[in-house]
Amino acid sequence: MKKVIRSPLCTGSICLSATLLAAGLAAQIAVTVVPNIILPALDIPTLAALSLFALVLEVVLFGEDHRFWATSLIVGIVAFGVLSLCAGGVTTVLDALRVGILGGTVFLICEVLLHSILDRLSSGPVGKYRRSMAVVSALLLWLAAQILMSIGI
Amino acid sequence: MKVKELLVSAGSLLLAGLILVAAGNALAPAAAANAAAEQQEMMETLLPGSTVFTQEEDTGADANITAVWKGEGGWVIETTVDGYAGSIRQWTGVDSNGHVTGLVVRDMQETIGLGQNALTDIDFLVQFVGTSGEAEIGDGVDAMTGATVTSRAIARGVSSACAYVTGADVSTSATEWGG
Repeated sequence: MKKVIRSPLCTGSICLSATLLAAGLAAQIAVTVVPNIILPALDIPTLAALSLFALVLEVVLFGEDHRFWATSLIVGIVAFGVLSLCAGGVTTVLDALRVGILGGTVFLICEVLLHSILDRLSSGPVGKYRRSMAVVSALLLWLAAQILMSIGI
Repeated sequence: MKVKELLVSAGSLLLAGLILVAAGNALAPAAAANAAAEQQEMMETLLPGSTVFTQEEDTGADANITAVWKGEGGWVIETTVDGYAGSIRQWTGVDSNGHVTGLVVRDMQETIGLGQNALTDIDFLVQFVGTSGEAEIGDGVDAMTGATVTSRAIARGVSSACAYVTGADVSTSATEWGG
């Protein structure tokens, strides 16, 4: 069972599910406690932040293991689509589909970029600090994603 | 790809979804009660002297107006206008004479540090209080620094709210994009 859980498909979906679960619960509690709170829109920077957090979590907990890109895309689409609907972030199936497709695409792009950076760094002097490098690289990627903030999708 | 891997993946998603649905259902009554209390408190602040607010059916004459509540001394009007980055939803209190008694931004996705200052910039918001008729940036109302489009959008919402009460023509320049 342990071997199954450590497979790239499972680690990806477990970490993404855990991240979206935590974010969804935090949003639900925030709206309950502070009704007039303004939550971030489910736009590209927010989806990138969630994706990068999940990817860093995966590197920290399970190490870095590449998987098929199509697998990441499908996991991302299903996770963002289904869990955004369950958390009440969107109200219609059509919106959930939109968030799912956008989230899956952002998750895939973030994974490709993050792993490319980590692969490059692994051969250098900082290669032994993979977990720290994953955190720093993810932070830089998230900052870069801010330029897409005003794109309305 | 093994069946076990697929099952574990689907199971983790399903479990997360179930927890979110259960939490949402458990928190829903408290969320609704808190939202109603907060709405009442906010409306009493926007329209001083009024305690009972009844939601009225919007006539649809002005597309900016998305909800209307009538109090004893006036109206609280919700407007939704296009800002710099998405829509800006705000509540404006207007007394029976058409004067603005209060203004608050309820939802926006404007730029942090610029347009989002409209949430807390009292000096900007207070300029609208006591005004009536068409609110226009540069004509008695100064824009927020670095957020002219947001300022104009908010002024447009205030103009629409006043026009609802006074019956003024809402197709004036103040209701077009950019104020």
